[in-house]
Amino acid sequence: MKVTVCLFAAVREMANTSVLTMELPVHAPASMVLESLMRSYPAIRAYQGYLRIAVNREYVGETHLLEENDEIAVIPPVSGG
Amino acid sequence: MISVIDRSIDVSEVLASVRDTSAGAIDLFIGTTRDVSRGKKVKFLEYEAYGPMAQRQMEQMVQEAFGKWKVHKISIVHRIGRVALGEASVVIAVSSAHRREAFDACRYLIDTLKRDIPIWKKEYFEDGAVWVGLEGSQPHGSEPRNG
Repeated sequence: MKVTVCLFAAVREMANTSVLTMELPVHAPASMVLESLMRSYPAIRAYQGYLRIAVNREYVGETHLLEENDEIAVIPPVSGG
Repeated sequence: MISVIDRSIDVSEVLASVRDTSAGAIDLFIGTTRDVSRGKKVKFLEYEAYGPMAQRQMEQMVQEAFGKWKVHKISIVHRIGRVALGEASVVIAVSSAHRREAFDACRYLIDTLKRDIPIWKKEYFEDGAVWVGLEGSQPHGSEPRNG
C-alpha cells in the first residue's frame, strides 16, 4: 500500500522534503516507516530511538499496524514552549 | 481559547478569555524567547508545528487538566514562525476558585506541552542554526508516550 508521511523540523530538513510517499506492505507496523526513512536518508539515524510516530494525529507505538490513507507523521523530539 | 498562531500573542486577550466572576485566582504563564543558549548568543528563534495534531493534543491535555483539577477556564496559545528575542512564544492562563488548582493545572499544562505537543524550536546564532530537542530528551521504546 502507498502511504503518505509528513516530516517536521530537523527530520524534514535532513530529507529535504515535508511529505514523502512510501510503498509499504498492507498493515505494516509503524516501525517500518522509520526503517524506510533511515534507509533513504542515513543522516536521520542520528535520531534513532528518539523519533515518535503519529497516526491520524495521535502518538502510536512502533507495533501499531498502519492502514491505507492513514495520516502518518514522524515526530522528532519536540521543543515547544 | 486553544490555538497555534503565526503572529504575536496578545497576552491581555488570553488573560481576558479565562476571566470568570466565580474565580478567585488566575494563573498566567508566559514562555518567552531567551537570548543565550548553549553559551552562545541567540539572534532569533523560529517555531514550527504539526498544526492539526498540536491543536488536537492541546485540546486533549486541556480536557485532562479539567478532569484532574477543579478549574474554571483554560486558554493556551502557542506562536509559530519567527519570534524575536524576549517575546512570548506560549501563553497559558488558568482560572479557578482557589490559587492552588490554577497553579497545579498550569504547571501540568506547560510540562505536558513541552514533552508531547508537536512543536519545534530552531535557534539561530551568528554562525548557524540548531533545532532544539535532541539533547536532553530520553530515547523511548515501542510504547507511545502520550498524555
